[in-house]
Amino acid sequence: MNRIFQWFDERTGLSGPVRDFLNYPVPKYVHRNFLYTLGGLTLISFLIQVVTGILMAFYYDPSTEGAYNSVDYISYQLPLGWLIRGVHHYASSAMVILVSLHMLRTYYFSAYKKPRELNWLTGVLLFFLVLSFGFTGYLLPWDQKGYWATKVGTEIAGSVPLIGSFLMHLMRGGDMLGQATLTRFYAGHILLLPASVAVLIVAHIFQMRFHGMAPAITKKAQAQSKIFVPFFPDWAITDTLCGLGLLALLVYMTWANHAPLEFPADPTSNNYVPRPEWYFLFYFQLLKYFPGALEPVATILIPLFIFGSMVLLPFVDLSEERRPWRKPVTTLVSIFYIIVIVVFTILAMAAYA
Amino acid sequence: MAAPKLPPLPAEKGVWDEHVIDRRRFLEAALGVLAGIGGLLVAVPGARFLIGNSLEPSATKWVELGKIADLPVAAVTQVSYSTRATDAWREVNQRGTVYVSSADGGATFTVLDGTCTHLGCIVQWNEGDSRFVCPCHSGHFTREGEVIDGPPPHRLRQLAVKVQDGALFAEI
Amino acid sequence: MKRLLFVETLAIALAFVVAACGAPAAAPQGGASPAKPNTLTAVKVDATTLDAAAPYWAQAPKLDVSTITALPGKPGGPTVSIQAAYDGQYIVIRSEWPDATNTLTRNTWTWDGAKFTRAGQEDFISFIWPIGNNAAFASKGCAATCHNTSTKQEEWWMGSDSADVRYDGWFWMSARTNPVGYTNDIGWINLVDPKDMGSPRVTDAVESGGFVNNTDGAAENPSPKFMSSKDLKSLLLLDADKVAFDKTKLVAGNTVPGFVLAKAVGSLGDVEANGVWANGKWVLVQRRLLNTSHNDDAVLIPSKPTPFGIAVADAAGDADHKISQEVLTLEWK
Repeated sequence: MNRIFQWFDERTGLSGPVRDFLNYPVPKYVHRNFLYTLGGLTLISFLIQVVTGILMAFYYDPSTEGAYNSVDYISYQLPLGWLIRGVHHYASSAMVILVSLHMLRTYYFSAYKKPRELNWLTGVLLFFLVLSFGFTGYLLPWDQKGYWATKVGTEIAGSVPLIGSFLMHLMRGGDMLGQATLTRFYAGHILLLPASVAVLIVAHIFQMRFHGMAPAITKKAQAQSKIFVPFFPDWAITDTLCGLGLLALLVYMTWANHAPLEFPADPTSNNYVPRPEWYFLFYFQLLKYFPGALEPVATILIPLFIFGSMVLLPFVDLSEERRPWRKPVTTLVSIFYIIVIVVFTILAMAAYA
Repeated sequence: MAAPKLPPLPAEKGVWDEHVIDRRRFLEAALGVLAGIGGLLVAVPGARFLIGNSLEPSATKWVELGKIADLPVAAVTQVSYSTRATDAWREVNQRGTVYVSSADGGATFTVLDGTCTHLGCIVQWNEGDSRFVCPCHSGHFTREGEVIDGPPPHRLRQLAVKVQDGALFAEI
Repeated sequence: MKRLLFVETLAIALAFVVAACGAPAAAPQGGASPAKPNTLTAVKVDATTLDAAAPYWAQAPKLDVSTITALPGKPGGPTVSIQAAYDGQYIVIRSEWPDATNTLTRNTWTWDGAKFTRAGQEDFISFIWPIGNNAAFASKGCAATCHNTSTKQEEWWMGSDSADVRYDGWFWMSARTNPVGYTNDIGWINLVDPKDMGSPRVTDAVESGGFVNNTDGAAENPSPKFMSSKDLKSLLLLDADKVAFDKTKLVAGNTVPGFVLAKAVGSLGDVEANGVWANGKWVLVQRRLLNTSHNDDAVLIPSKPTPFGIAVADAAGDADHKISQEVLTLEWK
């Protein structure tokens, strides 16, 4: 065993970097805090998506004639197909929740401040890529829900001033929502997005390892900040436990309620009410408040403003203060956004119920 | 395994937690068990899903090859059929080739699957030599489908036949 | 470590509780609670039967389907109450609808002493199921099969727009199939012969049995081919009881059944039926294998929602049928 190991090590030189990676010192205050597992859990949910996604790609047929039938086949005729598709479905929601919580944790602990600006930026990009995953994946079953949500979603892009028509055609791959759109969304969902996310995750983790954890904000944690535990096995076991818990939860949710598959897309149906996935509901509610000529405010100005302020955050908030209770502006702004999102989501849910 | 060792941390950075060494073995074992459980939880259903329905035998069905009156009774006739079939999640026209012949002037019919038993090419009927020839690796079969020479391991598959309403059917 | 484990366990347990609370609320409702509109929920039972009074019907939610006329200027139809149950092999559907009369006549011969006349339409109820996934039917229901744009009513037809789209039909008839305990298993395809508006309606493959027109086929003055050996007054003529028709046994005013009946064997007879008319209503139980493995039948998969539609007629021809207007959906509990 040892000789085989040595043989490989002499030729790859991996044992040094791997040992450094495994022995990476994690501050003890981090190890004792559940909030610090959110990033790892997001990564685990991404891995779950990769595995279940690859599995489904063995059966999925990205054509407007075959897509629905193949998803139907996965859901109702393949052994455990309901489980694989269901876990993929619920994990997509889990990923949005986890990545949001992870960002909030980073935000409130001021972990975006110098020298970690780039880490925050890769995180912001990853957040929007996760949302893009949701948007592109929604269409793939080619059922009523995906078809009409995509129709509306691309129309929203179309309402952007000046470049709207260009954007919409780019997203649809043409004038119509059809085969070109499905192929685009498919390639984006299974090739471009996963590859981009994987690269950004590596960069994100590399930067995190390079800078170490952001300084602690509580006195209790600060007292422990010079005591460390190794990443392996102490921290890895925490991640593994959390991952198993997440997987169990996803399996349970799938078992309790299989992933929905509505009837196949009918472009001529006149009584279907399009309804986005729950994490886009607040945005649809927002659109309602900007009718007619004001529409671009909601479709482009507000999203651009939010994206811009997220990007600029570490370059605007330059103070040394890291405790959220001593930083009323950033804290109150975030609470305002959270309240708006929650209220809008509830309003939208009530409207669709 | 060698006794776990951790390189000392730089003095200005800090120190390892005092319990790190004594619980390391236990945590490593626990991690192994948990990772194993997680791996199995993913791998077993994943493998079952990948196998899917691929091991299910495809259902046989009767396909009409033509009216008895239209089939030449002396010659070997190549008949291509097309039938509605379910191909995984699609409805398709499943097409294939069989050879129909009669040894007794049309009283009974022999229907041979044209697929060579060697590597699956479609054999051709050579009227001059009165034998089936596989174009891929020169396997030869008699009119009845028995191997004459070449690499095929066994005879051509003979299909069950029936006559109904004046038409010849074969079970594919 | 300990505290972390505790917090995690707590969080996971909490997530489970939340999910458990959410799950029943989202699950299809059954029993006495209000059901989803236009949704027939099939309940799982140990063993299905053709018994209209089987105890499980008390648990199966009822879907009341109001019917509208398919022809302009005619009144609407009855409200049909449908329930469904299934076991590992079969689906069984119980339908109940008001009908003033039990109609057993269909093209029945009447002898006036000199010649025969034929008359009579029967009651029917028909279920339509798309074979495979069908986007248009799932969003528009029976209207997707209805081709009535022509100005001439006799050019209207029912069926699909392409050879790739097919429908399965359960066509139960009070005079021709119910007396021998089955439902005609039929189908609708595309308009094969543009001159023949009836050509999209096809019957499933049959090995033996089925009803046969009781006529000698003469071009002029046709007469029945068979009559009953047992009961000349009966409106029904079973295949087992038939003997060659003998005019001398008739007196003016006598009738001879228009069809010879036998239970269909083969795909045509896939649906068993037990219909009983009493007290001004039909109560019908129909049962079929979830998957008949016949190419001309729809496959029903428990857990997979399936759209369907119904039509009823009260002693009227095929054209004057009353249809479900909305898409009906079969779901499973």
